[in-house]
Amino acid sequence: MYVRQATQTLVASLALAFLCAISSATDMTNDLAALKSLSLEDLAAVQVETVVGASKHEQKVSDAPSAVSIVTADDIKKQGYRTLADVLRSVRGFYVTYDRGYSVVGTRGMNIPGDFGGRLLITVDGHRMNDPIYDSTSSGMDFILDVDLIERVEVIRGPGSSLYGNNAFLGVINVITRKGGDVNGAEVSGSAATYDTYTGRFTYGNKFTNGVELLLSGTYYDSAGDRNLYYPQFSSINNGIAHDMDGGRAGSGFGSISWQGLSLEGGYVSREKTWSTAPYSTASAITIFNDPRFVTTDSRGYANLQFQHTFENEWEALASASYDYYRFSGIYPMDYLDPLHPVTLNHDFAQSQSVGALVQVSKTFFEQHRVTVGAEMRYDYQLDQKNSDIAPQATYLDSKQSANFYSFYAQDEFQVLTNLILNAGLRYDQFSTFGGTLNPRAALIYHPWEPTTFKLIYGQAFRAPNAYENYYTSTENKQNPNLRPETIRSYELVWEQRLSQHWSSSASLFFNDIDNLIRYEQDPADGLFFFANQEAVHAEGAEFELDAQWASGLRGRASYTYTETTDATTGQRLSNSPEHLGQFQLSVPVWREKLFASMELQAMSERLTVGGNTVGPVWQVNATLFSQKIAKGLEVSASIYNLFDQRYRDPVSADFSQDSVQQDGRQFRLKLTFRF
Amino acid sequence: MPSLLPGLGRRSSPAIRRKWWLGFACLWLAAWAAAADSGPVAGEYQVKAAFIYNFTKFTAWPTNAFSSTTAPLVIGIVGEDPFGQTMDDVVRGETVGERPLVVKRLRPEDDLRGCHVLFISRSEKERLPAVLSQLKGSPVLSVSEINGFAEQGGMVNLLLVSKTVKLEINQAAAEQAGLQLSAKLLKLARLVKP
Repeated sequence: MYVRQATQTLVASLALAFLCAISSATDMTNDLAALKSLSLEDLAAVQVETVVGASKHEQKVSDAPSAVSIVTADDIKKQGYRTLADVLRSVRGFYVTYDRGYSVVGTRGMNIPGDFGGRLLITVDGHRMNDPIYDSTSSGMDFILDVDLIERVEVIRGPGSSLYGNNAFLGVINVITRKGGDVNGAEVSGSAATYDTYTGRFTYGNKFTNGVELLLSGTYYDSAGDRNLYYPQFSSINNGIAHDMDGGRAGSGFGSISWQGLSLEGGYVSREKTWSTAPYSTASAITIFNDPRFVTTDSRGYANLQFQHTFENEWEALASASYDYYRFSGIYPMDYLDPLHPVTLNHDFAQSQSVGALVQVSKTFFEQHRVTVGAEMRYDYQLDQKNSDIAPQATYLDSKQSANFYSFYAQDEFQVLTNLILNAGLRYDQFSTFGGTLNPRAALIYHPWEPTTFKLIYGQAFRAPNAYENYYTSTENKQNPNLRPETIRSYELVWEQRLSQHWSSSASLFFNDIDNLIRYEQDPADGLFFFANQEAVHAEGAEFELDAQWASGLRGRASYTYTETTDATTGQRLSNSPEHLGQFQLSVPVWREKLFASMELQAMSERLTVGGNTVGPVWQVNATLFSQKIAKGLEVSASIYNLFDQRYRDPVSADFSQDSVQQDGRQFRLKLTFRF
Repeated sequence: MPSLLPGLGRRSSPAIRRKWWLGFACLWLAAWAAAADSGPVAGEYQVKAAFIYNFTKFTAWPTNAFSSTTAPLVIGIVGEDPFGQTMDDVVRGETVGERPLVVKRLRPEDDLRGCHVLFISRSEKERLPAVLSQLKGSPVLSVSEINGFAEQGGMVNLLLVSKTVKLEINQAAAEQAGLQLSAKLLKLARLVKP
């Protein structure tokens, strides 16, 4: 049935595409007139949109083997984005859910409550950020980079395991950092916002005459959070009000230094968050509500040394060595129904350390084949998980594991005709935990006319079981070291169309078959829960986007995404999987290049919760006034988030007593940045 | 610690499933109707074509390069044409002085010396030395987009570098052919010594 439906859809959209492409031919002539009238300098500054992460080298967005979106530093400033989560929820087809502990990013109908975002690979300048214990990426204040240090975010949709391996399941998000020369001096930035939220940042960057480029930056964040949060499930305690239980603070540092082809880059972040929701209760252990000792701390750090060189014979080589660190520590105040000890502090702990290396070479043969070959390995020499009670002391879990993978990949971008590219890639990964997996991707990229691109993409990808899924045990859970990887087969048709110099559009249809999804299951023999390869999921949908931009700075973007998800065994829709998703952004220059007014809308249709209930639709409007160059080196922005104070909720995992959790209401933020 | 229940959900009927793409198509059409308008973002070959058009204005040819004062200025494209219609659209109705601009598509075996500007396609990479030696001494501005083109004796190379089109110019090669490139053009380019 899917095949027939797919065929119908393909035929219909192709027919439409041809009609429309022809009708836009006249517009293109007008653009050329505009280009011809530019001065040489202006012509040299005209940008052709490019992406690095899709094929691991810089290429035009229209030549990438994926549907790509780019969010720039300019968008981040003008729309007042505070976190990577804010950035990503503005991107077509992406949505973020927040359980008042973590912000988790999902797309294409998949953001299953309880996941930590492991079906998306997030990289910083190409370096993997997903940790090996939970696959978590972090996108809130626990993300490794202050958003002010982002040059641009490349959102590369669809399976990317053929180049990136693990986690490149639904897409790859490559965050590109600003370099020393981009900062060219020092920056001090501070903001104050609702819920007593304050941030401060200092950045220094320079490109010296000897070619050395240096950037150093530090950020601090502190928030009291929503001081009173009401949870009817706990109405017997403090009338269900979690008082002063939503605060958090974070500190992060980032630095990069490069000289010619050699670069060293690293970062560290630690975030502490108090939880208002009191999750993880079981029949014999009740999590105590409204106890401010319920605090989690997530820390992560990395260092990546990289060497890049193009040899005389046009061989491009890249080699890197890296170190990664992740640590989680959570204190849970529990009531074990023991009258002698009304409160026991339970400590949940995880820590990982890894070293990795990557080598990659690429060369263009006969002008037609750009071949990239690489090998990557990582050794997770520490994968510790521990769960214990502090007093009276009791240890439930003390797991020390290690794991490794190595992999080989190859990609050929074959210029079949001047207007037809075949991008084919294959990667083999060997994991110590489950064995080998082979993931191909093939994309046909066709430009029948200069402003029109069609992409037909098939790809396979995987997500390896992580240490938490393999080894976590407790009184209620048992381990399952025999998990196999989750797999996805994805079919996608993309149509990108520049309509005129100012307007462009993009549409895609996707069909995803997901198998071996790792979910919780209960063993009827002993009543214990464990992770098992479970359902097959089918997801299909369409994305559509219209983009407009003018040299004056006027910019608009509207997108709509339809997604249908089906759990093949039950025939039901996935939880936290909205059918309709709409996003709209507009940025208007109010006064020259100095004052911009921006607004955005994020809308989502109702979603199911894990308990089978429904949370209502979301309509969130944010607005930002941004000014620059009013005084020398000064930037000021004022934002209102959730302008209409919509009281919407996000579904949360079954670890929570709540089925869904209330989101933040209207918030204000004032931010000043000074450059000197 | 966690204890989980599997996700529950709701099924949508087959009729709804079949209709969603129809709704999508309608929306798409409506957006097209709304978007009939004409920034800073453009296509690679539009920018390159605009550059080539500019070269005709910023280059001085010796008078013997033309048969008369009103003879056309010929832009040749040799090998597979990446511009499609774009190059023709750029020069349509344009003149340099009294000379109309004309686009000619050539095969590698043709006489290439009849052009004033010659764009050498990527498809000719293997034959590049032969093409350049055929042009030697003729007042033809050779333009390409092949890595190392200017180093190999070509005059102007158009390269896509960090999202913009950058120029590489081999000034000596142009001067040997009797062509004068304007300072404005040279200022913008990375100058390559052979």
